[in-house]
Amino acid sequence: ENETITLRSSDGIEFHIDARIANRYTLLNNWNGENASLPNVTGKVLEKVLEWCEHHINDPPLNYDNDDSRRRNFEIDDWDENFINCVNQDMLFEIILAANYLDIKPLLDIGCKTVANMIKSKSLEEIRSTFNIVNDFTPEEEEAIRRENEWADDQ
Amino acid sequence: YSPLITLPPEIFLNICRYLPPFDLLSLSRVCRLFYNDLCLGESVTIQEIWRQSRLIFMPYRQMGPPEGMNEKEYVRFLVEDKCYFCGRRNKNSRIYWERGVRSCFECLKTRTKSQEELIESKIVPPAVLHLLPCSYTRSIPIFWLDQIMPKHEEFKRLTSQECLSWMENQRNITEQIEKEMDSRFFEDMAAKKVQKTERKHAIDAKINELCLEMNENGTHKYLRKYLDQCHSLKNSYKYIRPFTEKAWRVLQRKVTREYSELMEQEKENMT
Repeated sequence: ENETITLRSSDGIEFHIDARIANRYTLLNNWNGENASLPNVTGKVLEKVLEWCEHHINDPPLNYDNDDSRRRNFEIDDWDENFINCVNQDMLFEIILAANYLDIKPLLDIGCKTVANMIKSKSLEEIRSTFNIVNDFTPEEEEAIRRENEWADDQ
Repeated sequence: YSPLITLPPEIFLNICRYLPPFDLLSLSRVCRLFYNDLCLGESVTIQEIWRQSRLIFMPYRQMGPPEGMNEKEYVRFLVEDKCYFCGRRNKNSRIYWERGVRSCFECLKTRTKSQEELIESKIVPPAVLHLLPCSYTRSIPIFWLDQIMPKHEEFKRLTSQECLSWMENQRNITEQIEKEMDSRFFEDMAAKKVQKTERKHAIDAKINELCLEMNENGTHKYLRKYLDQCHSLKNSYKYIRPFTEKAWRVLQRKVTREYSELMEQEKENMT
């Protein structure tokens, strides 16, 4: 029988998790052996994060001292891709923030790669509408920046 | 409200690490905040984002920017095919590192003289020519007039006492520059090849997709054989710029228009 620990989300929902999950990630590990409250993560988000952690429970430990090797990996594996595609954009950002807060680097990276893929190859208007961003440049500024970047466009 | 806008800076940077230079450019044009984060000032962080992006997405460009150029300007310098002097886009323009410009052949001709010409017409004493890095065009050593003339003036003002040590000094500087130029030149050659191939693959992928489009009666909308006859397409292969989605939208418009004109003509010829 595996040891379990209890995590409590900001909205008071309790999750009983395999202690091996906590052991993999430094921050969760700090709470090992006691019931931990996570004031910054809601139950809905924590549930997704823990779902991810459970699936990856047997992954080999990653060497995070070498920042470069982590950055060069652009692939997202099928399970992760499916996992991340099933959430809406708000949840995606919530997961990123939670992964950052809980220091779960591989999940943070998957989230960031996913957002980058949503930006890649898009026009300005497409990026704005994808992320609900308002164009706050004045017409003059916009024209100046357009001219500054003309070189990058095919004619 | 946008979650992307309110992200902590370190997460925004993490996202940027997965973006090629051209997408960073697009992102910087989306709103003020991103412009500030990616383009404003010369902060270490901004330089690092562009540097990472270059190294990962343009791995054929390992050498950093020359002195006085920041990373973003460097990407532009490498990719833009505009001649620095006449301002026209020219596929055959080349970077001349010793002068820090990209120039077309016509502008090069009016702004340089060959070593032979300079010596024969006694414009500059041969000794001065050794004090500046030369370029090569079709294997002929050439010098930029706006570099060699000031150097000549400087030389003329020297007393005979100063002259030797000045020349020695200049020679050392030049040797350093020449070394760097050589490596940059070889990187240029290799990069050009890779960039052209990458662009060709990107264009072909889009054209192949286009060829899959069907008419309602089950025939193909476009035939590769005729698409290949379109000038806009033929032309597009010649550039080295990365082939972006935006570039495809422009090209698609041109090619499809040209294609229907071509079809009209073919039909006319048949009847």
